[in-house]
Amino acid sequence: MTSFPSDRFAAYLAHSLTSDERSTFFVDAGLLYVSVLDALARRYRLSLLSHASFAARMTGEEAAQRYFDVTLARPLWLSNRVEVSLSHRILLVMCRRGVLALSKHAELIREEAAAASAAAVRPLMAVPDLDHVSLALARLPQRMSSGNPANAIRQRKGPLWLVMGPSRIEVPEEMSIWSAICAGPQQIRSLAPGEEFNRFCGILIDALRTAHRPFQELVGLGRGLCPFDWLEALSINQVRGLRQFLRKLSGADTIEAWSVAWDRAPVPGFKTFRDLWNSEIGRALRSREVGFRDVPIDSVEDVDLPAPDVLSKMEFEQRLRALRRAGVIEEVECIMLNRLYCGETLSDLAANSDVAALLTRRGLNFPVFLSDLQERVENWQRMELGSNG
Amino acid sequence: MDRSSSSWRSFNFTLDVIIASAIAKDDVREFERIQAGFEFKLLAAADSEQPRLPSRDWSDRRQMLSAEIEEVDAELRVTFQSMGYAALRQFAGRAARMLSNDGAIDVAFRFDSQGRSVAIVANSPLTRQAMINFRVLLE
Repeated sequence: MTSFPSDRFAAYLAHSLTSDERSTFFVDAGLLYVSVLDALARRYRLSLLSHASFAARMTGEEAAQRYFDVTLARPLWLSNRVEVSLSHRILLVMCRRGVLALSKHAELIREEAAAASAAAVRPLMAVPDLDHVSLALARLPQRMSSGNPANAIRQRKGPLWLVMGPSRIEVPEEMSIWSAICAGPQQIRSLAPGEEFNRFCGILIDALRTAHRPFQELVGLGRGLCPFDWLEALSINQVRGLRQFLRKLSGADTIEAWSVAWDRAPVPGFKTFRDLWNSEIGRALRSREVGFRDVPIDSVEDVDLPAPDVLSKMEFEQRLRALRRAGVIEEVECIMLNRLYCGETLSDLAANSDVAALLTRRGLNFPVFLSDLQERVENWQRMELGSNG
Repeated sequence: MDRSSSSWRSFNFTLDVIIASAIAKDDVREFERIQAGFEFKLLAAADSEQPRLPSRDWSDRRQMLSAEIEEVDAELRVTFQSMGYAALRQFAGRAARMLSNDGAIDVAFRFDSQGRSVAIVANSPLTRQAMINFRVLLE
C-alpha cells in the first residue's frame, strides 16, 4: 500500500476539508471531529490503531479518542532546520485558503514585536474570519517545552507572526495539527482536484507522519505491546534503543540472551541489562510472543530533512515518461497514474476496462498492484541513481 | 543528495500522496453514504402478524437519533430527536427523508435548530409493516 500507515488517514482528513461540489467550504470543527473519530474507530482501526493490541481492553471508539489525543492533538515541535513547525505550515495553508483577497498572501514571519506588546497588536480589520483566527490563536496555550528548538530560534529571531494584509497575529510556538486546522478561517476555498489538492494533501501527510511517528515506533517493537500504554512512559530514543536491542536478541528471552543483546545494543535510560530486565517494559516485552511486525519506520524521511514537495503536473508527467522509456511501467500504468494525480479514486479507475484487464493479467488486487508498482519504481531508482552516482 | 535524486524523492512522495488520496476519497464517500442514513430496525415479534411499534426509547443503530411514535387517528406521528452534541450538529436545520426499505414510506421533513422533527405517516397495515425497517436520510 502506501509507504506509511498514517498517509491514508491524512488524505481522509484532506478530503474532509474541501468540497467537490462547492467553491467554498465551511470548516465545522464539530462535524470534522465526528467524522475523524468515526473514521479512526471504524475504517482505520486495523490499519492504523493496531487494533489487536488493545482489542481486549478498550473499544474502537475509546482507542480512536486516545489516538486523536496523542497524534492530531499533540503539539508539534520545530525541527532544528526550519523556523516553523509542520502544524504552522498547515495553519498557513489554511489561512491562504481563506475567502478574503488578502488571505492569498498570508505569511508566517519571525520578527521582534517592536514597540507594541503582543497584546496590542490586533487585527486592524473587523472581518469575521480574521477575528476567528485571532481569537482561536489567542486561546491556544502559549507554553514552550524545554528542549524545543523554538526556544533558541525565538530568542534569535523573535516570535512567530501570522501576517494577513495589515493584520499581524502572534502564533504559539507549539501547536497541534488539530489546533492549526481549527485556528484557520472557517470559510475557505475548496481545492481543485489535481495539483492544488495534492499539494494540500501532501502537507497533511507530511505532518501526520511526524505526529504518528511515536505511535508507530511503539507498534514497530512488535510483541503485541499496546502503544497507548507506553507512549508516555518511554521516550522516542528509548523506543528506538529497544528496537535495536530486540533485533540483536536471538533465541528465547533468557537473562543470558538479554545480556548478550545488551552488549551489542544498550538501551538509553537503563544502566544495565538487569535494569531493563526488571523494568515494567522489560517484563511486558518478555510476556509477549516474539513476532516482529515489519513496519516501515526506516523508510520514513528524517524529520530534519526538508519535506519533499508534491510535484507539479508537468514534472510528474516528465517523470512518468522517463519511467515509461526505461520500461519500468507500461503505457496503461502511465495513464492510470496520471488519472490518479488528477483526482480519480481507485473505484473510478477499477471501472476502466484497460485497468481491469491489467489487474486480471497480473493477478493482483488494486492495493497490491500499486504497492508492486511503487516497488518497481524504487528498485529502478536505486539502480539508476546508484550507477549514475 | 543531487538534484536528480531529490527530484525522484519528490516523485516518490507524490506517488504516496496520490495513492493515499485515491484510497481515502473512496473512504470519505463510504463515510458520507453511511452518515447520510440512520437506520431503524425492529425485530419481528414471533407471536403477532402486525409489528408492535415502540412508542418511545427507539433509536437508530448508531444511537444518533431517537424516534417516538404516536398514533393520532389515521396518522402515525414520528418524532425524531438528535441524541447528543455531535448528532445535534449533524441534524440541526437539515432537510431529511424517512424511507422504508420496502419503499412504502417516503416522507420529507426538516429538523429544527434543536435537532427535532416530526414526520407524519399514514396509519395503515402497509405502513406499519414498513416501519419495521426504515432509514432517515439527510439531504
